Amino acid sequence: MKVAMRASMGEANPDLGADSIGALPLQEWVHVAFTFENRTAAATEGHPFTYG
Amino acid sequence: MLWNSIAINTILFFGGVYGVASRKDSEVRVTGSLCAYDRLKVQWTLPEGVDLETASVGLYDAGSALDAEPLHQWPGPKALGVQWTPQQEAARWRQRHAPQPPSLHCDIGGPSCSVSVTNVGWDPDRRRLEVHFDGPTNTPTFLSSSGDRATSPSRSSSSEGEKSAIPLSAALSIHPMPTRLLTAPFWETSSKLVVLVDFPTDQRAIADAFADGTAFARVVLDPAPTDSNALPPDGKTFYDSQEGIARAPGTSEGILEGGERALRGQFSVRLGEVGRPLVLRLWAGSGVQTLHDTISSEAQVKVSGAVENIDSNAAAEDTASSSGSASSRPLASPAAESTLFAVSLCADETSETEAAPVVLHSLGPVTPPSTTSRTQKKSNNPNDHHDSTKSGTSTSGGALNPKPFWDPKGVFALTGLRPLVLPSASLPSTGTGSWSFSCWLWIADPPKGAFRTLLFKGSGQGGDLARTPSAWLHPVRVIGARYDTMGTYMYSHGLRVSLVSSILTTYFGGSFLFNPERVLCLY
Repeated sequence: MKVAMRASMGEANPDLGADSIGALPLQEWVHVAFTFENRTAAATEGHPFTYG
Repeated sequence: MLWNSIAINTILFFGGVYGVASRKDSEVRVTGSLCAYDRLKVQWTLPEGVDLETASVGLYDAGSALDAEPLHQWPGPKALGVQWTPQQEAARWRQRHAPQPPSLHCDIGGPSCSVSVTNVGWDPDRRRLEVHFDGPTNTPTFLSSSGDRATSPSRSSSSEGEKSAIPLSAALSIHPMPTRLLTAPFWETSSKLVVLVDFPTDQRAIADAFADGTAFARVVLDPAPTDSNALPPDGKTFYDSQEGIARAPGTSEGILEGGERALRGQFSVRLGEVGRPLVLRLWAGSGVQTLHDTISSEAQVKVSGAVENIDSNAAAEDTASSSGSASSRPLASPAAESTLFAVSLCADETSETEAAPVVLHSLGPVTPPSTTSRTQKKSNNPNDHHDSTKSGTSTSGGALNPKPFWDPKGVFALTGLRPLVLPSASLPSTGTGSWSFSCWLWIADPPKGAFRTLLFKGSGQGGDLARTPSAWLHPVRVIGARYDTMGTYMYSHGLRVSLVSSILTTYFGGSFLFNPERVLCLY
């Protein structure tokens, strides 16, 4: 199984997380590929990063 | 009978109550007066033959009406709502004392202390497999085909549940697994498990696996993965335990991608307990260079310097030294592209059965990239597929996708206590700012109600935590057509990827395994 996601900023949707949700299986090998584009310059608040 | 003597504890939140143990036709006055928050311990015994369905224990108000209240009308209007039944208590007792699933824990550290498989070796002369851990374990005893039990020497006072012998495959996965064992695996030391292999066919299979680098050992994860998913898609290279990095013989680790970026590198090789001299080798292209051949004890070995013409085998210089010293002699030319070099330890010229883990501590400074510029076209399609196996091919917009600048082989098994960190100095200093991360991923643990970090870029420290961008595992199971198992949320805020000033960190809040090939690639 392969999963590819891209973090990019859309004009209509600056909330990047909304575009970048995928499903990963549990206890199974999965190939993931994340791409972070340099044009993603949305809000700078770091609230999603207060977890963990 | 389990319920013959069961201690019951509770905390009373009422003042002036009487404790009464009741079985319809009997009562026991426990104490005359209890204060609020007193802890009342009642120990009672049911005679044999009592119908458990009708027996119960409760507390009554100490009012004068107690004597007037018929106990057979249990629980009655004066009961305080605290009630136990022997059946419930017996069920709890059984649950507490039931054998626990096999898992690895330290004797001294408790459940939170995890151990790692540091290496696995095959001794053809003594016909045995040796699995080394980085600390003492209290792994359950193993049950052989003949019913014998093997006991860890450090576990003489283990509980009843821990003493339960289990099949070897339930706690430790070895590839190839012997088809039959006449003697149970035993602990030669508290951190060394020995598996005697009796049959010639098994011995040959194991020897072959070690020769071609497909052998590995792994401790069980809790919960253990199902058998169908136990093996990675590529069983080569090394395998590992819950945490840390282990290395099976015949493989190499700590591979630097040469090319235009990491032409200067530094490996720090940590040697575990080794019993005989090791050979440190450097591979680059078709060239193989022996760097050091007298490593016989725990030591730090560094290989440092630039790679120079290694393919022609013209200038593979001795740059290894023990005790942390390093040389700066060149190993290859910065002009050489796509030079792949690796460091490996060998027990002798032909086998690596005693090879120790190789830990990549940091890479040296990187050279500026070539004039080839990566231009990435903006894409809002979350389904754009970025396949790491297509290195050198085009991505969205037709931009050239270069080879990964970091492409280690092997499996990184991390629980979150030991993150995998790429130092800032190891990352390219310039670029377009766009980057990718790909790997084979195994998520061992289901969601547990909290966000789990998969990876982030940044220091992870300070008020803003500096984790931009990052990828997370959602804390709950999302029911739906799209995220029916687990959701991975990637947030990206203010992304100005300037890798030279940041630290790329992967931090794992659960048990994750990264698997070859192209295990973990950064583009």
